[in-house]
Parts: sequence; structure tokens; C-alpha cells
Amino acid sequence: MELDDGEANREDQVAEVDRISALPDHLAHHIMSLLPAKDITKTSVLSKRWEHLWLTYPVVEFDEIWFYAMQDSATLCRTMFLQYLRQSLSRREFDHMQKLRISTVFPHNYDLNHLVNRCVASAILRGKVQQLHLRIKNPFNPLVCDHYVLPRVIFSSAFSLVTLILEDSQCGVYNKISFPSLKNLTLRCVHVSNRVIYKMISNSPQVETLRLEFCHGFDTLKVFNPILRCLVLIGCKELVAFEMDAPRLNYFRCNGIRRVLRGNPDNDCSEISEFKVSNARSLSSLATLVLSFVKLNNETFRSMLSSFPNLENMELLCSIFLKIPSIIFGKLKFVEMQNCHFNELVEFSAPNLKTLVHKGGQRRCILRHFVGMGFRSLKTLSLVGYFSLTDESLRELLSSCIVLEDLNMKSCGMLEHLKVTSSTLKNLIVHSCPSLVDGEIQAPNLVFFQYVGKQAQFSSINVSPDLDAELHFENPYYDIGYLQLIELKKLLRNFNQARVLTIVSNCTEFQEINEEDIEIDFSLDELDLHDCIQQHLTEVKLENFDGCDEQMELVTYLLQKSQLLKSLFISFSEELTKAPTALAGFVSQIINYPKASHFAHISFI
Amino acid sequence: MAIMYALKSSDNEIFEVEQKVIEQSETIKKMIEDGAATGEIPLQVSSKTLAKVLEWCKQRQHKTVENENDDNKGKRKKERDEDDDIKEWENKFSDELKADKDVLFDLLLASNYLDLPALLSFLCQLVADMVAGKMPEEIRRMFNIENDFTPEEEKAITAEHGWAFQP
Repeated sequence: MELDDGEANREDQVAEVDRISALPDHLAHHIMSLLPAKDITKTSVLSKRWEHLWLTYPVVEFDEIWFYAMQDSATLCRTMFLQYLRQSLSRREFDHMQKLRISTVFPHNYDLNHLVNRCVASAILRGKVQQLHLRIKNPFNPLVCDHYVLPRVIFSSAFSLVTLILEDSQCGVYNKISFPSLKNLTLRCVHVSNRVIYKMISNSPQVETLRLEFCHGFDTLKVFNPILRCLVLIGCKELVAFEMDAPRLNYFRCNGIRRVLRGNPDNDCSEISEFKVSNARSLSSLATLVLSFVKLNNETFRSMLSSFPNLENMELLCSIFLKIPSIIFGKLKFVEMQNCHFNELVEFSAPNLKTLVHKGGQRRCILRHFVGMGFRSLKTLSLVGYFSLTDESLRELLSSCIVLEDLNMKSCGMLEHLKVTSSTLKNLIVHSCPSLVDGEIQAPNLVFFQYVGKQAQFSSINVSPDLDAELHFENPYYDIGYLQLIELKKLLRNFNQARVLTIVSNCTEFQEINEEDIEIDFSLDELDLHDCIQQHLTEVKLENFDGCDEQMELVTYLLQKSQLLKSLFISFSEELTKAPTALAGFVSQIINYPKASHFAHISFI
Repeated sequence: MAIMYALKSSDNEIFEVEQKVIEQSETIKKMIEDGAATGEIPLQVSSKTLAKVLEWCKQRQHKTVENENDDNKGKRKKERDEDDDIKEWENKFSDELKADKDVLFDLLLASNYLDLPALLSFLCQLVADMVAGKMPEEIRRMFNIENDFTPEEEKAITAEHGWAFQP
């Protein structure tokens, strides 16, 4: 692209012009929207143009915390906040207002309520405000009757409101409740009655997302809404019953509360005792269900799950159930169960399940497919902290997974002999299973194997020639010493077919051979790796090289023996890099060593 | 063979550009769809600014094309490298703009006119980052904003928003 010199000069000359103030309002406001409140407010003092931009800025925020940072006395802080609110109210242009947020730090009082109500009413009655976020702190005493009562105008006249977030405070008694444009509704720590919450949901014909967090005052949640897509309930401790008719609902999350009961070793959870739907189509769009810290009896759990004919993902976390109802989950693709309490058997009939994750859980739990069904589509199985997984139950579980591709096992305490026979398995991860002593892997298509734990045998390995194996021997008590050398030797022989073999031990990483550990206790001829090194080794990485005799011996050995060696990477230790003469000496020495491989390339890092 | 379009800058310079590159601009895309774009597409943007706009569009275009062609193997590492490359390119691009604010604001107005939301957001963020955390005097100096308040007026406003001027 040619640059026009004349124009470049001209533009240089006018560089003194104030371009930012000449931007149209909406672009200046766009820039302001990317700044924190403090910086936005500061721009108002730049010039009259910027004062105008600030007064017409459509996002209006008042946060008492700004004043708390200047003044930690509650009374003074409140006085300053009120004064600021009053002043701004008289100057800011409500006609432009799209978002209003008021947040307080100290409990409400008469003056505050009066101003907040005035401010909210002016904003709502202009009919332009799209987002309202109120957080009016309650007094420290727990009596609901002392909480700030949300003004009627929000419930009766907020025609333009798209997003409503209410925190702390309480709902009063309202005759008219209507939110014709509302899409997102969040209530946090709000006291609200059965009737008001029911009306809010039913009279919001556009609402898509509803979040109720730590709200109280209602025990039954009636959700009758044809549009609602996402329902999130967190810690609403009094809630026990549901009545639902929400045919578009796609995501439903219900987090209860964990109750620690005195004298009971098991924790208790919020119990849901009733779950009713209007008809068979009431929840037919639900694809994702997440339950945590809840307790469900068999009947409620059954009526809940059978109202979700199209359920695809199910996450059950820290909850108490007796059993999974014996219904067929035809669409279910993903299940995660974490620390759930079940009766002894967890049986599933989910013919299309692709991923099953089981974490923790009580000791007696046994996970298995429902008799006769099998996990015939299961591709990914992840078992983490599954205490009661025995060799036998693993074998049975795996035999029902005929197309399994990924198997991930972590902290399965009872597993001693890992036996995996699968023609479809591609990835296998075995992580910190403390009792494991031996593994037999017959998986001709296995391309990735990762093992983390103490040194175990893998007495029989039959895998794909493309295998990328990583063995992490983590043993805090002793290094790989004499005792385990023989094991290591066997192990390497068993992985002879692997394309890449990485062995990592106690913080030192190496490929094929860990020089840090090998050099300490034995001379290399003792470790009979000749075959492996001669015929397979293609790449070696030596880290933290400091040129001691053992390491030089190792390098000599590798270069002499490895016929297929392609690259040898040597990265020097920090001390050595500080002594350039010594370093240069080592480099020239290594380069001149005899090499068995004609194409070996040595790189120094 | 990619379809090429000729863009004409306000100072009558012609830029030959691939369709895919310029269709990121909603304004031009509409002009093409409406059939208003036979022959040269006249734009109210100077050649210097247009060159800069196209530099951005081409970089974005590369990014999306490469992502499409990726297969899964080794994707993570490749993505990371790509991200680094893009970051590096963006940093260079922003440094040039910060040094010449006229180009920056010409580009900002052009991205608004051509309806290039990604470029617009990028530039607004760039300006916001220049403003953030600065005191008014520094901002005025940086952008040559003339303070047209009387000292009394300025004092009154500063006092009203006392909280915002706390360190």
C-alpha cells in the first residue's frame, strides 16, 4: 500500500486537535462503558462536553461502598451517600437512563428508603430503563418485618424492564404484578411469599432465566411459564414442593443446603418432598438437570425423572437418594455423580449414555448397568475416588462397556490388579490408586496411557504401536533405587512397542531415561536397556545438565549405543550457564563423542 | 478463485479486496447484497484509514480460516501458539495507534461507519485502557482536551464527586 506523504504530513500537523471530545455521544459512551465507575465519574470534570456526556450516560450507579472507602463511620458514610444521591437525582437525566443500580453497605433507614423509592420510581415511570439492580441491606436483626419493602412501582409499572436483580429486602403484598418485557429475573436473599413468586413467574411472559438464591418465605414453587428456559435455585431453605409446567425449560439446577445434624454422622440435605407436573409435556424440553445437596425419596425422585423424557445431561452432587429409579433414560448422554449417597446398588438403564463420571460416594456403593441393558454407547468412563471399586466390580463394569474409548481412574483405593481388555479403548489414565500392584492391558488401539503413582508392574501390555505412554512415579519416600531397578527394567521392556515413552519421577522429567535418577545409584551397564536403547530410542532430553562424570558417561553411552537416535536435547543447569568456559568445554567434548546413529542431532538449550 | 471487490476511498484510491475479507463489514455486506456494489464501492473513508481497516480485516480473516482448517490433533498447542501470534500482532497494532491518535480516532469512526463490531470494541477498549486510572489533568494532556470550566465550576464538580478522586 502506498502512503501518501502529503496527507501524512497534513495529519501530523492537525494532531493537536482534540479528537476524543469530537466523537459522537454513543461512541464516547461506548468507551465509558469499558471503564470502572470511578473513572467514568472522573471524566465529568474534564470539560463541559464531558460533563454533558456524563449526565446523559445511560448507566446510573450509586454504591455506598464508594463512600465507605473514604469514611468508615457508618453515620458519616450514610450522610455522604444520601447527599450524593440527592444531588445526582436532581442533575442526572432520567430520560436517557437504561440501567440503574443502587447498592448499600449499611442497613436501610427512612431517608434512604425515601430517596431510593423516588429514584426507582422516576427511572421506571420514564419507561426506558431496561435493567434495575437493587441491593438494599437489611438491618442486622433477623426479623423479616424490619427488611426494606420493595416498592410497588417495580411490580406494577416496569414495562420496559428486561433484567431485574433484587438483593436483600422483601416483597410486600402487591395487587398487580406484571413484567411484560422481563427476560432475566434474579432474586438473592429476598423474602418472598408463595403467591408473589408464583405471580412474578406467571406474569412475565418473556422471562427466559430465573435465579432464586438464598431466598426465603416460600415453601412451594409454582412455575407456570411457557417461555422460561433456565431455572436456577440455590439454597432456598424452606422450599420443599414443586409444581411445574414449563414446556420450554431446558436447564434446571437445584442446589439445596447441607445440614449438619448433631449425633448423625451423615450430613443431611434439604429434602424435596413433592414434585408435580401438569401433564406429560410440561417439562419435555428439559435437557440438563443438576441437583446438589438435596434429598429425595424414591417416589419423588421417580416422579421427577420421569417428567423429563428428553433429559441429556444429569449431574448429581452431594445428594442423598435411595436408588436411581428403574426407568429407561433414552436420551441421556452425560451423567456425573459426585459424593452422592445411594443405596448399595446404583443401576442405570441408559442405552445412549456417552459419558459417565463417578466421583467419591459412600464406601458400599456399587455402580453398574441395569441388568440386561449394558452401557452399549458409553465412550468415556471416569471413576474418581471410587472407594468400593474392586478388581471384580471393575471387570464387570468394563465388560458392559463395549465401545469404551476413554477410561480414567483416580484414587480408586481397593484396586489391586488392573485388568483392561478392550478393542476400542484409546486413552487410559490411572492416577494415584494406592493399592495397585500390577496391570494387564490388552488394548490394541490404545494410543495414550498415563500412569501416576508408586512404581507398579505392568506385566502384560498389548497396545497400539502408536502408544504415547507417560509413567509418573511419584514416591515421596524413596527414589528409584536399587530395589526397584529390576522392576523398571521389566517395565521398559513391556513398553517396547510404545512410540513415545515418558518417565517422570520426583520432579525430574526425562524421556526414555531419567539421568537424574539413574546416575545416582548404578552404573549403566547394570541396567540392561540395550535392546530398548539400541533399537527404539529416537529422542532424549536431559535436563539440568551440569557435566558431572556420571552425566558425561550417560551421554557417551547413549550416543554409542542408540542406532536410531535422532535428537538429543541437553539443557544446562543454571550454575553451568554462569561458567561459559566450562560450558564450551563440555559442548565440544560431547560433539566429538563417537555416535552409533548417523543422523543424531545434538541441541544445546 | 476468490471474488474480488474494488473499494474506493474518499480520496479516490482503489483497493482490491477479497469478498471474504470485506464482508466482515456489515455496511459493505449490505451494499453488496443490495446490488449497489457493481464496479467500485465508494466509501467515506480516507485511503490511509482504509488501509489500516483492511490490515485489521485481513488479520481477522486469517484467524478464522486457520481455525476452520484445524484438525483435533495437537490443536491445543497450535491454538496457544496462534493466540500468541495474534496477541503479538494486536500489541504492535495498538502501539502504532497509541503513537498516532489521529489514526486511532479516524479508525474508530471508520469502524463505526463500516459496522465492524470487533474492531470497534477493540479500539474502544484501547482508548478506555489509556484513560483508566488517570487523573483528569493527565487525560486532558493526553488527548488535548481543553478545560472550559471556570476554576470555581471545576472545584464544585470535583467536590461533588469527591469519592471518585480518592487515590
